[in-house]
Amino acid sequence: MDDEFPDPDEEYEMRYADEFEMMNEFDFEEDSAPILPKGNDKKVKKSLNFNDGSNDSSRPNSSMSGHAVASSDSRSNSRMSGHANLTSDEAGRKRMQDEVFGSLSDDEELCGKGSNPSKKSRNDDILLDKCTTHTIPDMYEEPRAYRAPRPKRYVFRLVPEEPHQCVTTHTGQKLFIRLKSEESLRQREIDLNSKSVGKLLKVSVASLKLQMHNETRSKSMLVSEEAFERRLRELEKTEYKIKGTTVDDMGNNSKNKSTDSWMDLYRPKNYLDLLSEENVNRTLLHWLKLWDKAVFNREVKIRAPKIDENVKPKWAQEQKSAGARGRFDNNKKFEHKKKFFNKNTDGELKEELDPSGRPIQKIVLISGPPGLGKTTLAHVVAKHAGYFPVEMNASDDRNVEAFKLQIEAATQMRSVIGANPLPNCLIIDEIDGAPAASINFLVNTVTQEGAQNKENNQAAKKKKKKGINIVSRPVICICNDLYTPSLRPLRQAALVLQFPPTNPNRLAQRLLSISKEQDIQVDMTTMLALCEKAEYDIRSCLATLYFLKAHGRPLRYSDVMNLNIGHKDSHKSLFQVWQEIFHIPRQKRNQYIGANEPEGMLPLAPDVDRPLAPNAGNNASMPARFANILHAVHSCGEYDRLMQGVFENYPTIKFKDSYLNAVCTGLDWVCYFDHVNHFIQVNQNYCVFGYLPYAFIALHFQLAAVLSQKIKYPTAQTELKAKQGKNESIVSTMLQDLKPNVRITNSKETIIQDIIPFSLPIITPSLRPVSAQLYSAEEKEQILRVIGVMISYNLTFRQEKSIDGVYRYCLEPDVEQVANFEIVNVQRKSLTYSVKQMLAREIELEKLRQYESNLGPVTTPTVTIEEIEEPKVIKPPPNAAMTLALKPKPIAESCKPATDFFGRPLKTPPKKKNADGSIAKTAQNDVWYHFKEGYSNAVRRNVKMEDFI
Amino acid sequence: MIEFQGDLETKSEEALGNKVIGDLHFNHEGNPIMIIGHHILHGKVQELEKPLVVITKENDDEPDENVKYSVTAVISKKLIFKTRPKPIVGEMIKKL
Repeated sequence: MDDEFPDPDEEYEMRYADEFEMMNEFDFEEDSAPILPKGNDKKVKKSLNFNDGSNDSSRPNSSMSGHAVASSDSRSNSRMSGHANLTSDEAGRKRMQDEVFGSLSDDEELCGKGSNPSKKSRNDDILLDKCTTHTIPDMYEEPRAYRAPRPKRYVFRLVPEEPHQCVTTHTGQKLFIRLKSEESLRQREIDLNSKSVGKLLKVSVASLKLQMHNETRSKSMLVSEEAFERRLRELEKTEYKIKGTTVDDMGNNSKNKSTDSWMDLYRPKNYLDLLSEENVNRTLLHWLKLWDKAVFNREVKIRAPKIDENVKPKWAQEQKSAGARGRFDNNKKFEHKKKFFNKNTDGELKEELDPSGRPIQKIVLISGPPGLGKTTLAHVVAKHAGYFPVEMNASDDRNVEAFKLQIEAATQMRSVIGANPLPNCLIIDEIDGAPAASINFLVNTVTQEGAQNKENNQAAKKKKKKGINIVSRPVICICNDLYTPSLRPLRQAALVLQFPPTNPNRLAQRLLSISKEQDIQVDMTTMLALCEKAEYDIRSCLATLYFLKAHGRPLRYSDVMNLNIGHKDSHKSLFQVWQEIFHIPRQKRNQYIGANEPEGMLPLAPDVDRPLAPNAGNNASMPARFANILHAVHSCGEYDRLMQGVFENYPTIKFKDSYLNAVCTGLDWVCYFDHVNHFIQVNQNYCVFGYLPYAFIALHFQLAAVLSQKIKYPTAQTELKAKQGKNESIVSTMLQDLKPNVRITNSKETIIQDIIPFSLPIITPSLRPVSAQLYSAEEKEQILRVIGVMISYNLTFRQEKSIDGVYRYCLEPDVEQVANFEIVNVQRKSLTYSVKQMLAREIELEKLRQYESNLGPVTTPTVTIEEIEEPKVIKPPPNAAMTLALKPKPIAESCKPATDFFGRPLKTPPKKKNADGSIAKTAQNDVWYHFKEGYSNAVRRNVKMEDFI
Repeated sequence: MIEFQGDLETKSEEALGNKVIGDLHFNHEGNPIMIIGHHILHGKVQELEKPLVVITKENDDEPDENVKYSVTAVISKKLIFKTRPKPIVGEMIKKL
């Protein structure tokens, strides 16, 4: 080639054409470098490093490496000198090149892909090229950019000569998977080390520094402003003081109170102060009023189905007064709601009373996200209806006994002390934290007795006994998550009220009024923003306001936006988190990313962090996804279960990954998770616990798909665990009765791995389906061999009735289960029913025979099948002799050493001998004793001597 | 002296004299155990209220007046077997 293209430019072109071609041919060439024999390794690595230095190619190890070394070698010896190992002399370099190329071509041939004979020579050509043309180095780098990066090959059908792992699919096809060489792993480690130090943060350190700087600057600006304002305010205050003392008092009051928590301070004092949705409030109150008959012995006003003008409940009157006070600004809306009074809430209030005068639904279950004022509502309404609210926290009293005691105390007793003792109203807070048993108890005590009252004719006595226990006080339960499994019985029995989010306008207004009272300068938009950010959590809003008040300066919109608000109890279910992990969100409307931030993360301020700002509102951006997943995983917390779910579900997710790179990386992360988790569990050292959720983020980026997928609950582990236990018990039963001489050479592992799988084909001989008498000698021998094997490994066939009533013989212990995998649907040879039956019988006989002969070691049986049956028939009945064996002498005679019994010809003589012996003995003991019953002194009288004479 | 509550029988018509009846053992508490044929008898030792004397007549052949008796033994104890004998069943051969 050299000779054909004397012009250097053309020559380079040519060479690159060649190389391009080569690239196509050696399509896994890239990796060939790390897999080279040891001697080459070092040098190639060197060249790779060098290559990285000379151009910013994203793919560090490429087929070009050899050339790169060659060309740049001479170009910059100074750089090369950094690598101490490289020799500068020409010959050495050439040898190195030779080695490199030699190995390359080797690889190419080895890979079994269209090795053509001209390649070697072409390599040589290239070598020559380099030797002649390393004077023009710059041109060399250029064409590399054109090269389309080809993915590495990992799976081969033919045997590659690199390190590989052979895999057989269930169809029997063999595939070869390339092993990663240590070199490439090391390379990656280096990459990891050189890359991202602080990558765990969403924001780079530099931008954080910038943010800090900006903050300090703005703070200093604010300080000057504030100083000015404070002076103004002081001036104003002095003016007030001059005007009158009343203002001063108020100021003092508020100051005193400010030591209390605002939650208590601004807790709604009466029904009208409630911020929650009006229809929920009313339903609850109405339900409480239904208890009037049972508790206060008042007639309950039951509303007529449609017209409620005449019997106006209390709340209607309140509504009037409320309207008068301007509390409900939107009367129309209110009316509208009223129409849907019963439809809106999912639990419909039944207004009938049961015979004992209590409402049919005896429990109310209020559910909703935290901080909406559920507890407050319950308290206020109970007070309003004339009850004394007794609050108990179900998550505190976790055992059933304590729970029972509390319920009984609250529902059946009455405070005697106090001027006007009110009946109790039990409020059970956070009932979703209570164990299922106590919830069942609650439901039973409350509902069961209602049923008893109905049938009081039959069980009058019972009623008297248990009538004491009737729950005659209203019970209000409060929970965050309505669908907690333990709440199911309660959900069916109770009137369920779902708490909708608070109206932001009303909330903001209330907050505004509070802040006015507290001297915080703030406007409506800021308040609305605050509400939105806190997700209408009143408690959180108040806490934040309280916190902001400490700053002592007017609130601004940006302040609120920069806030981090911690969420109480926001809990995501496993399935939600799995969905999020496997789902790439579409672009959505602007969202406050900050709101989704977990506590402890650094603030992501949009105006400070420029590079993130354009993406900040974008739900689908990388940082946002990062934050979202992290938050979701944090909020779920069950990392183990999560990881199981991810691991079991990822094969069904349709993400784009044709070369399994994502799967490899993802599984690496799973391994990482396992390592960390193992470390935590083994050392009980939770300092690395914080790193666990990041594995999920990596998995999300690797394995997520745009389409939402159906996710199944991970069950494989428990199933496999159960199966493993079953198999282990099978093997241990097999081991238990194994003959010692077999047992001694077999451990559990060898039994499982080496014996069971291979013994299965051995014990399934191919036999003609004819009766046992017709077997040829060869077949008989085969059967005997099988019997020998089965006995020595304690196997037999056992008759079993399958579900459809068919009898079949299966192995006992069923080692087939241990050896056969369900995935493999290879047709296995199995014996027919009759053969198995025959084998089972023969095995029993053989065992008998062996027992008789008292032989420890298992020898291959020397008797044919027909003969086996004989010993049983002729089995000497030693009973006759034994019964007479009174003295030790004859016993010893009958228990002759087994060797006498051993041989067949000896069988009859011993019997005769025995018979003789027994006859002799009976002759000896001819005398026997005849016992006369009765007492010797039964009849006794005195006889005189005279009578005889 | 051995006292039985019952009869000693034999298949053959011969008299029992000079025949082995059975074995007499004593257990470690001193109670006698008699084994006759298929039966085992548990008995006890009893002191006689009045000891008996075993005498033999000397010069038997002379029915004259100077008949002499000599005391060969004084029996002060007897073995009494008055309980129901227990059968001896040969040990069953161990089941396979």
